[in-house]
Amino acid sequence: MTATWIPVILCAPGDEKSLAEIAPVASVVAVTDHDGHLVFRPTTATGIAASNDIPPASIYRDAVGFFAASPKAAVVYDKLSAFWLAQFGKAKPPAFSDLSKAPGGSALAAYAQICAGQFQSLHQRNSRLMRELGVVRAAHDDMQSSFARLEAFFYQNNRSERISSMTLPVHRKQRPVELRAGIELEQRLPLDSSGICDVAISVRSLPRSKVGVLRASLELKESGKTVAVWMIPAAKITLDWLRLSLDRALNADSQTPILRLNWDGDSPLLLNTSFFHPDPRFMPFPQSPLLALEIWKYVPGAQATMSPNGILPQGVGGPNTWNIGRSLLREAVAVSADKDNVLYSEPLTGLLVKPSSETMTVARLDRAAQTGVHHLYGGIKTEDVTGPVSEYAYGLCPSRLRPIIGQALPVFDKGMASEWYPLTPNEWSELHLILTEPLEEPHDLFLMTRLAKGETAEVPPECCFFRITARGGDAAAMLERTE
Amino acid sequence: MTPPFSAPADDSRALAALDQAGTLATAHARSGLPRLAVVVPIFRHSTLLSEAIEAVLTQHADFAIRLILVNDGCPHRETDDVCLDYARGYADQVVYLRKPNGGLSDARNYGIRYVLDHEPSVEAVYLLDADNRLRPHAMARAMAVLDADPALGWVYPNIDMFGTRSAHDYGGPYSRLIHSAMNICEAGSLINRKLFEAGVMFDTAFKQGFEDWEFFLSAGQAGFRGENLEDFGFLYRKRPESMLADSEREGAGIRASMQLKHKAFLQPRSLVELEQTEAPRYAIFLVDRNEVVLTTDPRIANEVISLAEYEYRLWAAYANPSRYGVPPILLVTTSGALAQLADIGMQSWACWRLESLVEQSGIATLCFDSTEEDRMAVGFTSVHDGKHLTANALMIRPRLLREVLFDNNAVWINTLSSWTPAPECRTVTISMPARKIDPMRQIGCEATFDFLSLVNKLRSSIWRAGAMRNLEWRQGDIGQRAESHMILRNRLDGAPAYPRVADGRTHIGLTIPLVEFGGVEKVALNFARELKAAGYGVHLFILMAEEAAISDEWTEVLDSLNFMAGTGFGTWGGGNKNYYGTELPGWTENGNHSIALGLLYWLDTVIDFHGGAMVATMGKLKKLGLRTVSSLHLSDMSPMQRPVGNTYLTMAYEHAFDVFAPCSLQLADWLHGMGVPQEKIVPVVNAPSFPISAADLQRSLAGRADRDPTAPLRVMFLGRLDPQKGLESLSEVVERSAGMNIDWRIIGKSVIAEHGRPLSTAIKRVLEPVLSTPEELIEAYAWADVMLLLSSYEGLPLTILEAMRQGVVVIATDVGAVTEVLHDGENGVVLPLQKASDGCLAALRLLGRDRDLLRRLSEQAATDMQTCGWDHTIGDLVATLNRMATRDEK
Repeated sequence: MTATWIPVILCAPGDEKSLAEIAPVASVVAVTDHDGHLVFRPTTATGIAASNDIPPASIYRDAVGFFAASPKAAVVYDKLSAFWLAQFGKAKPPAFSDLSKAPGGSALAAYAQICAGQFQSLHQRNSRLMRELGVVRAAHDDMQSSFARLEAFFYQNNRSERISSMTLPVHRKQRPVELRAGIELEQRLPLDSSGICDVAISVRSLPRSKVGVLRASLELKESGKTVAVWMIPAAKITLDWLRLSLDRALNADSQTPILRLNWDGDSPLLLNTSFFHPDPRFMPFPQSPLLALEIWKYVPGAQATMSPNGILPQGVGGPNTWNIGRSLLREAVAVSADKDNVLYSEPLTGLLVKPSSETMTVARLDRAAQTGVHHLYGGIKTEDVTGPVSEYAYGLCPSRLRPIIGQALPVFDKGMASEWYPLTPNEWSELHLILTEPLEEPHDLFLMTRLAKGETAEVPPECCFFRITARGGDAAAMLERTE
Repeated sequence: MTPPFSAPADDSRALAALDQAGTLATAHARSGLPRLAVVVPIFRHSTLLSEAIEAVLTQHADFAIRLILVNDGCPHRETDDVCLDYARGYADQVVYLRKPNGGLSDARNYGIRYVLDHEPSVEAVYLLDADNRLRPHAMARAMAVLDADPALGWVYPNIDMFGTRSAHDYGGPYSRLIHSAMNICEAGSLINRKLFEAGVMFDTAFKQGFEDWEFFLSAGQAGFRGENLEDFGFLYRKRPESMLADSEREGAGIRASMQLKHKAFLQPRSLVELEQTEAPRYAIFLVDRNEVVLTTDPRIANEVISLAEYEYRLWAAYANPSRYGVPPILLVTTSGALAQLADIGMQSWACWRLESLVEQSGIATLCFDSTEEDRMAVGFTSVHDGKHLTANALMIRPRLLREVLFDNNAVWINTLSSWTPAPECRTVTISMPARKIDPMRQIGCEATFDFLSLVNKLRSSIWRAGAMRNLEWRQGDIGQRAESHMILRNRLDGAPAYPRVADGRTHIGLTIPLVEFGGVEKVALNFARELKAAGYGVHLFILMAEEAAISDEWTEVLDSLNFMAGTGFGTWGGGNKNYYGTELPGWTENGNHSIALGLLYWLDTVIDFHGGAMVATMGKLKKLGLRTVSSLHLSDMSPMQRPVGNTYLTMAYEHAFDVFAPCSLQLADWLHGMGVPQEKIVPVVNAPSFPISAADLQRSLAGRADRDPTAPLRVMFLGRLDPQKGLESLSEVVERSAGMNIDWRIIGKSVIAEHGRPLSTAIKRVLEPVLSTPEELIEAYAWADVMLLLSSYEGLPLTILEAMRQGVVVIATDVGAVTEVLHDGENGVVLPLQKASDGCLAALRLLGRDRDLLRRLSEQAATDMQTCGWDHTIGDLVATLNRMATRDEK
């Protein structure tokens, strides 16, 4: 409440003197007839005030009763009733109280009666509203609980991943956008905000100086809210796609998402661009093409498993589950093997790593296992009806060693590779790699297959790795690592 | 190396972001007098109401907001309870008004009037329905738009719906033209106080809905305009069943009420003005100047832009047709060709005709050709005759252009450069005398190749790939923007609208089946001459003929020349009903009247000169605000001598005409007798069809006095050689006068082939070709002593008047209104129709013998004609039209 409301008691002219006792708790207003028009005038202890008529709207808002202290009051009340109907479309003005019938003929007693009646009415209304609120709350709780379970089911069972909703591809032959210190780049995203969980921009070339921070923020235009801010030091900026992830997909309230980029480095940061679009609202700078973008969506408002290459915004704790899904499997690199034996299968939605009779076949997923990963597991299956028994294994090697190792197969540290897991054709199973300690730095993940001892194959079997889940250790350990 | 894209030196966007941050920093400030009031009308939304109230009370703004709750006699007690709770709880922010039920408009007005009377500090009012919501920054954002442009009438939102979720974009420049066709402004708009102070309020008669549409139309007419704010933050509760759904069901009735209330604004003549300024119809690519003129009226360059700018706007419009507009119709030509069309008064017509043709064939071209002197012609071809390869202009249908530009393959369109193009293409040819084509002017004849070159350029645009994708997530709801020319068309029953806007003058159109040398055409020419002298713009519409005798006399008085040929119009024939025995032509019932509406709607007045079936459009034209006049001349005769024709046909459409302008007093009486109110009859009695100088007249009259009384009597017939003109009687008179002292001249066009009756040898012997120029006619009348006109029926023949003016004694049959000017024995000889040849021979003998009588009749005829002139006779009609115009303006 921002101002004190004072109730009004109406009365006939002349009756105000009998109502003086209620002045401390209510205003007394006389209803006077001026040439057929009713006028409402405040009263004082000495009588009716000469001026300052009170507007009818205020009277309607404030009046709680009409007190009659004389026989002529009934006539005034009749006029008031007619006025009420004509002015407000309501048949009954505030209740008529005959003071002679009040306990002790007291105005205060009559006022107390009105207050009691209003209290009762308010109590009834409040209790009804609380009951209704309870019903709504129960329905809300039920819905939230169901949704949370559904969300957890997806999250735990890794049966879905963030869906790439729109890609504005990189136009390599096109000039990049130059992000200079002190200049904000605003890129309106070409879809609504509902369910957005990741936005990737594409870096053309790393800044010459390793000094500087890229600040990216995602803002919703209609509500004016900034829903996420990413701070990425120059040293952590990588070439090509830089994936800005949200822990939880934006809710279902569709708004216009705006990505704002600020860079404070010494040398400009060059970002790849996509096509030109004539709608100026989508131009990051006048007459410039759109930024190259990839945008993912998920169930609105739901927590989604992270991609290993996603960067979380400020203020969000590190994830304890990553999804090594289609987008990473598609980018697998063949290691020490015939490149034709490592390929992503769209129909199978998995990565084929086909062993030959002579040697194992290995695929590498760069930086697929992030700091904190403690446990990796995913589906495997040899997509042949008949054939040899094949064996599957995971292996991990720090990403920083890649330039040294090159395309060779590393020697995995103890505990950093799984046992070989034999599998007969057309049988689905899960492969696990449980580490003794959570990873302390990002690792490349190696997916390996070979024929079981004594087995031969004229045609390499269709050994397939499916989506892999990477889980972290306990939350406390993870927070420590994040810091 | 090409530099990267970067921000301009003055990065206003960065500054804007800072400003926004500053505004937000002052959020929640609510001290001081309110700058803005939110009026919430309430009826039966007692429970949802609290959401609307809370949305207002939690606004983030650096100014105070007054919330006005208007209980419109809601029968639910809870409404009263909720309103009283908030009014008592937030007495300094919330005003509660209760009134008897009066409907949504009445409730809004009640709240608005309260603001006007009690809240002098409030600068703008926002109207929030009780079941809708606002995002927290909505009022601050909208107010900022008004602050930026205090003259703005209102700020209207995009609509994000909850309940049944959807989002709708009403962005792009505000257009009254589009607003006339669809409701683009939600009532939930922030409205400038000035608008209410100007007297614009909600019309309480609109109880079934669309009251907001009607309100904003009124605001537009009061001189205000709106502006869309796309991120307004307005949330509309959408239920499958709502007042809006009711409105759509009752739509036809409500729209009819709107049409009635805003009749003047919604007239096509008003809409074409808006089209010109807000959404020009044509992009005219002038190849020689490498620039694009955006306009509806080709005589006026509304905006001239570079080709690069056009290319950008075109692709922007394709990318988001709801938000960005570009003229829908592309015309490729040269400035020389446009100037050539202007010279012959056919600029607007050419665009109109091409636009009609592209509706049928997708592509249409225009070619110039030459014809014989004093003739103009149009022709239409759709065969592969290669004419399009030398076209002076090319127009393409909007959707076809889009398809061509989006097509990944240009092979199909490139066949236009061949004799057998794959796209259907029609050609209109305008033929004119060679002397009218300025040899120094570059009119170009490569429009087809220029078009293909343009297509190639547009297809290789950097904007093309992006424009294939609409990046806007809201549904663009202003579909009318992409086809803005259809708004006007739809008001004209679908036909292309003649592209011409008002220029402050009053314009009169003359509709006539053909223009050759007939009396009706001569009357029309004199109407044109006198109306032009009276300050009117005069436009000729030739309804049937593809070719016309357009002499310099015509071109001197015409503002434009137009043909309706090729549109399927037919003056007569094909009907299966009649009115008082005159056929109602088939076109009156089955014709495409919209063609005529589209051609004529923009005029102030149309005068029909025996246009046959054209009468069927007059009622519609009248409803479009035109004044309609029928210029009537005579009844035709059926083979059995029963009067029929335009006079009777016009009577069938009497209500459709404001004025009847008969050519004689006798015809005026007939009209009254047939039921035309006297006030509607304004006779324009015929006068000589061409002017004569005082010197020529004096020379002609004086020459008679010097003639030898013994010389042969000079007798002349001047006119069409057809049965109506009493050809049989004339032949008999010529043959039987062989022994008399007479020199004969028979001047006129033989129409033997048309009537199948050969001319007599006697007539053939003295037949002379038709005369067309005033000089030739003056000479002929000066030669003659006597003129014969033994017609079987007439109106008031011009030849009689012209002859009498030069002192020729006329011997004529007593038909039509001849005796209005010709008085037997006083200024000529009037013969009974029966045995006219006997009477004629007797009169010739008498006049040949009695030259004093000849001179006396001659002098009286000349005297009687001294006051007979078009300037005098048309005066009443001009005064009547002026009076009607004044009345209409009031």
